[in-house]
Amino acid sequence: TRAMSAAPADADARDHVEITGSALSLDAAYEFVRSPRAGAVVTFVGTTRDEFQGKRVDRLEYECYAPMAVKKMRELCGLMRGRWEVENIHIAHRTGTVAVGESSVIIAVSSAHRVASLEATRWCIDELKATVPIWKKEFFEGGEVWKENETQRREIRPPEAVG
Amino acid sequence: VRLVPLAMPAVTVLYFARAREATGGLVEETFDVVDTDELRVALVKQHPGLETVLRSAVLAVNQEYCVETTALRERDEVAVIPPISGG
Repeated sequence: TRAMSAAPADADARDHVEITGSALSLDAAYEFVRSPRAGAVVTFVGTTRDEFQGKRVDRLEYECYAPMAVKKMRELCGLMRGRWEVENIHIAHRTGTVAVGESSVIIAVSSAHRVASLEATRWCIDELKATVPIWKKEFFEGGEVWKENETQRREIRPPEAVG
Repeated sequence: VRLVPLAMPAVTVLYFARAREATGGLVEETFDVVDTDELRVALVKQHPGLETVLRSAVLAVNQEYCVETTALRERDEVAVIPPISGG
């Protein structure tokens, strides 16, 4: 199911945030963010690995509190714009089964110059993992376990101020 | 003396991930409670399996994380949020 990408009235049209049960498209992310004003496009793709601590992983299953996740993802976009000169932002996260090799999250950012999108993309995935209400269950050889990200925050930590 | 409203606010509680498993698969439930402390007690009473989950879970009220005890009002939406693992 595709959910919660409709933007509130005051949302920035240059931001696209999405939670979807369908396979993610890197092409779609790139097409959304690329712009004549951008000299750089940065993409981050998170994919399911085939191994964790020596055990073979079969798949991950993702679950999401969609309305709050979208809200948090929009906050991430706003904070990115406050700190960096970026053009367009695309954040998409998948729910349901994500098999080995498939992507669970795609973040794409464009900017006139490369430093902005490189730094913004890195900050974005770090904060997404720390604050957006999404869970993954890992199905491995011999069992299954709910994963917990290393950093958990109740508030998004804004990027450091310039200078 | 603690004043309690005659009609306790009915809030909707959403269960996710490990919390959902602890309720036997129930994803949504209504409780009549005045704040999140009272809710935590009521949750464990209703679903003893939630006690362990609640030790590491945070609550969100109307899609904002609670950082302290939060008063609840009629039709508030509270989510039980175990440690997250997006990305």
